[in-house]
Amino acid sequence: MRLCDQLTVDQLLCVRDALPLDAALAQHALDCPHCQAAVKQLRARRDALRALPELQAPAWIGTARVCVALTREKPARNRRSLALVAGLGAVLVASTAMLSVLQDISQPQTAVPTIASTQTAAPPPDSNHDALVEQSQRLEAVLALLPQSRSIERAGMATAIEALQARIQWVDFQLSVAGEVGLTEGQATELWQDRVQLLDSLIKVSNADTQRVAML
Amino acid sequence: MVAKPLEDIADEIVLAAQAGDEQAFTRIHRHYGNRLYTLIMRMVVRRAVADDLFQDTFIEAFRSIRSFTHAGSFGGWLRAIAVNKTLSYLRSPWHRSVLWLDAALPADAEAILEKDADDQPAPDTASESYRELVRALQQLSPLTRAVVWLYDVEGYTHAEIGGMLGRTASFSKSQLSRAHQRLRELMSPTESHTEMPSCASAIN
Repeated sequence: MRLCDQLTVDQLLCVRDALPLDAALAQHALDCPHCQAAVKQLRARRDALRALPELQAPAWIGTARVCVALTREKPARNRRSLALVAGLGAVLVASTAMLSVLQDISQPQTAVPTIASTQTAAPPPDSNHDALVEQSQRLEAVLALLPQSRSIERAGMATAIEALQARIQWVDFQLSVAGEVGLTEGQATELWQDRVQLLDSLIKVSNADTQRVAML
Repeated sequence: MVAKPLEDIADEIVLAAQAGDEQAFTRIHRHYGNRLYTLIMRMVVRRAVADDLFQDTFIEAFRSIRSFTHAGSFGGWLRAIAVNKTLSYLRSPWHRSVLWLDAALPADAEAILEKDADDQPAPDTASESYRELVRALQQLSPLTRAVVWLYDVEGYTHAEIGGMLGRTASFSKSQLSRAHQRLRELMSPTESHTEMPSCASAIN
């Protein structure tokens, strides 16, 4: 669009906004009544745009809603981190297993007993009462770190988790009344052993569910 | 050149928000809400999209509020988030697909846009020229509309706009020029088709 033979809209905008422009063209804009009118019109349009009233932000998008959205993001991020850690763990276990197999193949027969003894170096389940209590606490801490999935979509998974939680509660109740009912130390230790196994199962099931949700 | 400077909120409120004070978040939201919503809505037009971008802006702001260093204006920092979110949307394949759908159903799209614009209560002083300007603005292409709003109203420079769009300052300048040419045609069609006398004849 040329308003006259000399200046384009682009150049008229330069005049309006006092931006650098060729001196001859700038002089023309000063002298030409049509260009002056065009600049005035551009200025008026800019002023009209600036004068448009503010719009009302929707009331339903308040701080509370934003905060809820933010808190929903955290478990999602945790799930991703957990999935990453689980993935790295799986890679590590697979690598170790692969290395063991390779070593097994490459070692002479005489070395086999040594490897076997290394592989069985994992401690047997600790039956000591204090150690079980400590192990139970550690497992609870791990469980607390797992994101609490509020949307377990698979009924089987939900049932398994609920059953384990109920059994843990039952063990806890028995331990809480151990003194009153006169449980022996051996019986208490057995209960703690049960508790450790149940917690371990709960962590595995919850972790599996977390990974499944993170993969979705 | 900033046309409508955002009146900054007290620094103590920003500091409180950075410390996690939820009331401070609310005050920030109230203080800047309408202004940021206007900015977003003028650029995207569609109410549903503007709502999402508005919420995303505050989520991003509250999530990263601790990164605000108090070196510049807090309002400017917030506005930059809103502008980046909006321009990212306008450049996204999703937005282009919506435009394609709009083009397939031009009558429906126009109706939606007009409805979205009319949902906002017009000020008492709203005149026909106000409505005409809003309608003309809506008829610009999204990027052109964004450029004219960012330059003429928000006061960004061509270099800044070009940078935000991943283009050059010249791109921004040409879009602005195109926007004003189109606005002129849309707002005063009779005038734009009238033969203008040449400067030479005017001077003579």
